[in-house]
Amino acid sequence: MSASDSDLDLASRACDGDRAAFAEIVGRHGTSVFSFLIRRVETVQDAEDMFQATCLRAWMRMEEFDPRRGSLLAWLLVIAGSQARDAARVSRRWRRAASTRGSGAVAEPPPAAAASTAWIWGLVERTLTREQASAVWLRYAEDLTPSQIARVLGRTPVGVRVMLMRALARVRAELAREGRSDLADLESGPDECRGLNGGRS
Amino acid sequence: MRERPMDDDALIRQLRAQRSLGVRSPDDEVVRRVLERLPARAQSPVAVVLWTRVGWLAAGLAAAVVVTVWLSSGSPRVPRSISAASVLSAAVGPLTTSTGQVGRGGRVPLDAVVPRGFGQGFSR
Repeated sequence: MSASDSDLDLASRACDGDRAAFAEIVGRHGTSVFSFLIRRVETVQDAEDMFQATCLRAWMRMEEFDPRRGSLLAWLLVIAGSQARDAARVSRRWRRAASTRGSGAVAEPPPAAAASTAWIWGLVERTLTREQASAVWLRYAEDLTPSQIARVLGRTPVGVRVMLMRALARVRAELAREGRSDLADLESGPDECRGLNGGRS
Repeated sequence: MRERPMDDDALIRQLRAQRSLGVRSPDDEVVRRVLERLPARAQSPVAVVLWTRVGWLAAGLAAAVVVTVWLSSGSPRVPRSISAASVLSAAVGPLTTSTGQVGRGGRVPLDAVVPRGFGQGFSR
């Protein structure tokens, strides 16, 4: 398996039952899928479970990948998004049941990523809702288009644009509140981040 | 002195520049387990057809056409009131019981389809 194999080649081989090709796909895009999932769930364990479910579903439905509709990563993220929505629905129902039994409403716990991400992404996780943070991640870390994000999150493209606009405004407001607006003058973040964006922008 | 508010472009630059700080990789053990437990994918052409929704649709349409042609050809005598037994009877011919009796009136004796001795050993 060479590094130059395109996603399409790998998908086609995986479709024929080639496990090595699928392993290569997971190696290539697993981190992006996991980074997305961890923003959608409460614990790392949940993210791992969902990651396994996503991989299994992708493997079983590999023939449904259509390169004309988007990249392989976008397709994997759509599957992951669907898994996350299902899990969130169950979790909401559980919380609603718990709040009716107990006293008052149970607040949405912070995503699993919140405690461990640093600096601006940590601020994003703390400040925004799970869905807003996911949209910001997909847009500015994974470079997905609003239409692709809409498919992943089960929203409309216009809804995603509005969500992104509001999310950025909220982060800016939080930065201003913390007196860190001058970060705007930095071109590429702190020293440890320089040169790490690898042409993604 | 009033601070200059951060604009969206600057914020987006920051988000992109610090992407690596937000990346989380799955545990190697989790990945290994996933890849080890992948079930076998169907390889036969029939199974591949049945894997896809289009395949299911095509197979369903083909089956519907075959049944329609078969029923409209008039060769099988399909009674007005169709019962499961009469359709079965039309499809495979008259059913006989284990004693050689032919089922009548669209009713198929139970022992025509259930093997003799089935259920023995069960007590009420």
